[in-house]
Amino acid sequence: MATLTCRQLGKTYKGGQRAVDGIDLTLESGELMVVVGPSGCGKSTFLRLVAGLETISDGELEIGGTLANRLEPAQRGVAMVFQNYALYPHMSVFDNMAYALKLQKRPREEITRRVREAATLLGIEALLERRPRQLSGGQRQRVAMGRAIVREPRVFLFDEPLSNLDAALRVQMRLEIRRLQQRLGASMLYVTHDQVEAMTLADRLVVMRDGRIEQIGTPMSLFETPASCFVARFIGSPAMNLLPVSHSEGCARLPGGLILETDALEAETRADTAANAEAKAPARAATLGVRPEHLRLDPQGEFAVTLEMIERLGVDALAYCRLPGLDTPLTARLPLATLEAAALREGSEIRLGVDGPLHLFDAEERRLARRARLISAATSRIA
Amino acid sequence: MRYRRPGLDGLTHLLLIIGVVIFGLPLWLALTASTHSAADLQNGIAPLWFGDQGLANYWQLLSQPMPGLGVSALRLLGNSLVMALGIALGKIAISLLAAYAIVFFRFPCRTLCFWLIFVTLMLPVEVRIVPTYGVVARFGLIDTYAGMILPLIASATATFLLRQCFLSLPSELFEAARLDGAGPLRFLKDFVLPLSRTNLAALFVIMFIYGWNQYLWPLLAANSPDHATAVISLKNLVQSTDTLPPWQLATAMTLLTVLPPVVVIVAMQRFFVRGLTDAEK
Repeated sequence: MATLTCRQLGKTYKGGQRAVDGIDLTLESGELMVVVGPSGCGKSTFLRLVAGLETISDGELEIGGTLANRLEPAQRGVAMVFQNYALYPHMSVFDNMAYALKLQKRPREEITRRVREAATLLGIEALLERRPRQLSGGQRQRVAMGRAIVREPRVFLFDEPLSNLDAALRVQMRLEIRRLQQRLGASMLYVTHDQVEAMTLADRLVVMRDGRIEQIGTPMSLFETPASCFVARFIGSPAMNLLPVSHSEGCARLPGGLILETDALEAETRADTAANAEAKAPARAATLGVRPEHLRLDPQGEFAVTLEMIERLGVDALAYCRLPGLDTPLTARLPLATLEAAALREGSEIRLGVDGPLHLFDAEERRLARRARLISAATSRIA
Repeated sequence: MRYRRPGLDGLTHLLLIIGVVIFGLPLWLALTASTHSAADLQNGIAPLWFGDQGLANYWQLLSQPMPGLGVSALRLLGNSLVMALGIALGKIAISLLAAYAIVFFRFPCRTLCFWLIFVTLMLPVEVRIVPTYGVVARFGLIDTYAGMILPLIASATATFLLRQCFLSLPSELFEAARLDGAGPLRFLKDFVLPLSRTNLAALFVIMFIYGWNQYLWPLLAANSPDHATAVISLKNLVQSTDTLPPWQLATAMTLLTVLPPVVVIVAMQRFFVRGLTDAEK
């Protein structure tokens, strides 16, 4: 059952600026959908369109089966948690949470019961008489969520709710939101620019760019088969290595002369061997992507690189390497132990092998094939 | 930043003391003069210390009709109070709604409206006194409280001040309240009023004093002694043609006239201090 459906939802501001463009999505009941994208991609505007804080320019918004385009925010059955919490500073925590119910003229006993239930769920019973300014960041966050829960909305809307918290608290609240969502079976639309938050929380992930949906799917499907370079860069940390290549018939030729043969295209169009791929024409500009996690230290590896910098993360280390002929560094995530064992330091010459899928994108940065695997590699003789 | 320099401290204290004397001496003279008999004051030299007629003078002032006007001092003070309260509350009510509309509503010519209100800063009652008198007279409001109050209750200053105050409220507050189902008037009552109450208190003090000190407009709008204000009565007291002015009564009335604004300031000071220390916004 769909709780929320958007059909070609769009928003054009007065100056003609198109903030949200043709959003099509369906939020299933009990689903946590995370909308992610860089700042200015229209994700917050999209959320505000759903909330009713901005008027919808075109398209349709359906909440709980009824057209909500022209409904007042309070009548849409949505509750929103704001980035800076937007708690009412002159009211106690109890009044903050009870305010919506008071406006609905609910009986006093029901208000008290619902507020207490929500407070117990969030562990803030002891704070009900306090004012917002007497609370810590995490407590304010909880009150803001409590205010939403009390209203028992059809859809929860979260607008970057964790970005004002410190790193440790963010992880904790992230888990709490997830636990809460599962306990309440609530439908949630969650906007963030933090891709770790997005990956860990989402049932489904929506990546937005310039007001449009770039890709929509489960976090792992986006991680494994990004539809574009943009998604590839955005999902996963550290970001995927994207190397400019010229591409023809399954063979990707790197600026340094390295040729990688992949199964990205159909077998019949593929060159017989990597070596005579040069003879085949015409080569097109393309982008080859490989995740840092899928590179390993290998004496027979395809990439001969210079180790430029090491960032130790604890168990792993990030190795920033220079590939001859390329400006962009190649990042590899390697186990710290192997780095130490090989006594590698900045300046070492090493070889890296590919241990995972490759990603090929065309000149428009769109994905070329579902999946590409490295078959063989050779170094061009006319490099 | 505080400078600690003994020489400078002495100098600043000296300046402050001079200031206090300059401002305080006239009040002191009024206070001492109001305790002497009329005969004591006839030579025109103000005594620097108290006489023995204090109680008698104030009793006469409060119990008998004012010479020249034929109305009691209490009536005059009451008239002043009604006018000052009417002006202060009226100004706040009108500018509150105006500023609320300008800040929180998107309507055509919003900025134009704001600047039109702002331009009226250049049109105080002294400038528009003839047309204003004409309008009030035709409405038959001469010699009424309404006629004394209404022409003065539009205030660009207050609108501007409240606009700045409302602009400092975070917009998410408004949006959160909208999602909770609060309409515009509900938002005004539940959020804007409580959150700007310190500013409203400050405005009230300023506007009350403005209203209390009005001279020219009540002089025109209130012809009968029944509606005369305390400030106007002061002039009447010292303007006797055939006898010497009753200076002991004039000075006593002056002190009584000064008193209410002082009370308002002292009473409202609590709010200022709380507004400064209480970072609720």
